[in-house]
Amino acid sequence: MKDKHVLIGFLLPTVVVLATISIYPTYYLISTSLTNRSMASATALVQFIGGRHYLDLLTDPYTFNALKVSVLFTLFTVGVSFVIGMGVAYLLSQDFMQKYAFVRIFFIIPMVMAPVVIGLTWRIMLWPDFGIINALLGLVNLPQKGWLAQAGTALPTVIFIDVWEWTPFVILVLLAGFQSLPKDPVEAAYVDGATSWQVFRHVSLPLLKPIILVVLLLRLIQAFQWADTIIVMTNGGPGVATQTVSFYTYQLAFVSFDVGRASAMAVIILIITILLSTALVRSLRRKQ
Amino acid sequence: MSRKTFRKRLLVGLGVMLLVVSLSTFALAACPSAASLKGKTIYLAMISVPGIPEALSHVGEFEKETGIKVNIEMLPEKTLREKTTADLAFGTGIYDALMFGLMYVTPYAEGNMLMPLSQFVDNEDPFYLNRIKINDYIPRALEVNSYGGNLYGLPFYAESSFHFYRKDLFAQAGLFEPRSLDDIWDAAEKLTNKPDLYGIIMRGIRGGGLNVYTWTSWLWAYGGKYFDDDMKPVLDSPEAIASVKAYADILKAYGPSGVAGFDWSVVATYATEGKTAQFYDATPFVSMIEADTSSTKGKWGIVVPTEIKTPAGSFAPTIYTWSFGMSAHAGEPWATWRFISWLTGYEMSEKLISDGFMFAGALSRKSQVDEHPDTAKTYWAAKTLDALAKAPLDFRPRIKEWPAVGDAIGAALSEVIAGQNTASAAFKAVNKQVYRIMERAGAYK
Repeated sequence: MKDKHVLIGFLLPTVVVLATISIYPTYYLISTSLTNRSMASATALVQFIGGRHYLDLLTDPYTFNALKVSVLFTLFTVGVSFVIGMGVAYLLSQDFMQKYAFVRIFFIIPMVMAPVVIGLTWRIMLWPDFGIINALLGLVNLPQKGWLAQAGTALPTVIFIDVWEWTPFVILVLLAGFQSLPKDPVEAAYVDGATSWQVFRHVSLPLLKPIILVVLLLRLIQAFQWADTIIVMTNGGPGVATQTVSFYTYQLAFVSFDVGRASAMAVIILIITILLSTALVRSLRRKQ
Repeated sequence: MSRKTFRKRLLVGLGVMLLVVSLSTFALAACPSAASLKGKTIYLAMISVPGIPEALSHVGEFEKETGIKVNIEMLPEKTLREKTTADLAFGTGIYDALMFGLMYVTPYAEGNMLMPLSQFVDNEDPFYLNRIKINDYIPRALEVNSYGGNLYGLPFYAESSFHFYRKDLFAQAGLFEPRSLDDIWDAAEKLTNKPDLYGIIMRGIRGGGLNVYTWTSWLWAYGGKYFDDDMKPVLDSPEAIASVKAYADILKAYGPSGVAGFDWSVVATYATEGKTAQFYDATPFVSMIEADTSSTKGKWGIVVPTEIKTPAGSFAPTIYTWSFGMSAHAGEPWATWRFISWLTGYEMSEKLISDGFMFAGALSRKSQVDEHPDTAKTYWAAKTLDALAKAPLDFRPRIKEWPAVGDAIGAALSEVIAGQNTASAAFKAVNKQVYRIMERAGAYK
């Protein structure tokens, strides 16, 4: 009996916090998505409309475009930042790099900058005639463009900026992972005549899998929900070339004031994120 | 309880409710004594537009005179809209008053989120009314802040648009002030010398208040409309498509690459850095091109849009205002009214004039030109008033669905400017999209 009370005592704060910050908002989100709630009227009766928003969104070409943009964005930004991050983290974890440990400080800078500042800074740097990027490209006779204003370059450019912003996060987490690995298996592999690549591929990487899982999960969730810098840099354009699902949700809520529809879109994002995360976890666990 | 007794009680109850409602309305509308407002605290959310920092430097005088404590939250435009709309819609009553752009007057008023201001004007003490001088506001600025015969916003800032051209470059090329669409094309072609000088620049980035704002002048120029009389979108009409094609074609031919990503601030940079021979944008640009930091200071000429001949007559001048309105949930309505009417009133305008503030291209009151020793002498002041007077009341449709409609059109327009789509295909598609937005909002019930 006493044990039961202790157990409840320990669990209760967690349950209360979870209920307040996660369970209730999720319930509210789902229930709002089934209504016609709008910020365009303070007095209109909020009515239950069932799955109308979902049906409407699933037949809306803008939804599919936003999904396509988000998937492309997520695949490239997570993939590229992971590959670069893994390489740099491995390099930094080597003994000969210890004297250059101070460079890690610089990796924090992009991560701690406010997204609005990042968006504005890059936008100015990418200006067609006055931006430093085009000026530098001009010096080496490479084409100068309005990088954020052309359909073919807008999405790759914002992917590049996101990779710049979040690769340091991948580096720092994986570096911590490399440094926490037990030394014995690595040394044993070298003694057995393994090459550096073989040690990395068959010893370090399997041991790092739990950390890799965390990094990929966090990056995936963050990338799929990405909207901050895009609002400042392209406003979703040109056309809808950089309109991600999160940006579209923002537009529905704060431009169209259609809270019900925006909630339905947010639920769709939530479901997709859960499915993607589950698939990722299962795939990595299976390999383990 | 018998059915008869129940009915009686119901009637009595309803009567009491009606009495309470009418009394509370009376209490709201009746003008209180100045003493009764002392010690009240009000909360406002606003954005810093030209004149606001200067006006706010006098808030201490208001607090001292009235005893009303004023709390102000300055916010960037997007944050302001997010926070105030949520506050208004959910009735949290955080803000007593807020600043909004004119395209939000109808959504807010139709949604019963704002307090009609006419009742305060009607019941205000003549002493205060004389300090506000309602008739001094630019009539068009008041009209666009009205809905259903009621006033919802007191304008602090009102702008229109000009066609700006470089007088020096035009003279060198033997060109005259552009007076027709052909003149604009001709000058753009003759003066373009990429990448040193572009023939023309306008906003390209998507948004109902961005590229759509300036393009709408072109829509009017070609005789296009947003909606027909039944509120069905007609953005796929030959006139509308011709206007999109012309707007995009001239930018693609004579503007910089990447113009589809330009907002007003980029247009201003090209103008002040001497990289464009012409641009079409808002009247307050005069403050930027004539600033000491501008390399093109003193080299600009302006044309009021209605003076430029186009296929359908002329360009239509734009109109935009930033106004103060009161939340329907304002806790201290009279104290709030006193503050916003003081901030936008005649006396404040006179204070700004005596402080030497120049009303450059943004005028909410006639006296800001008539009684200003310096503003009146400028080449833009009278023309700003002229443009504002000639701006169509529904330059952009003042409908509650506008934010969504404007954004959809902005996306389609930027697609055409970026060369991703043709004017015809993009606007036929967006016409369907706008129809869906209107239909969803219940416009065709």
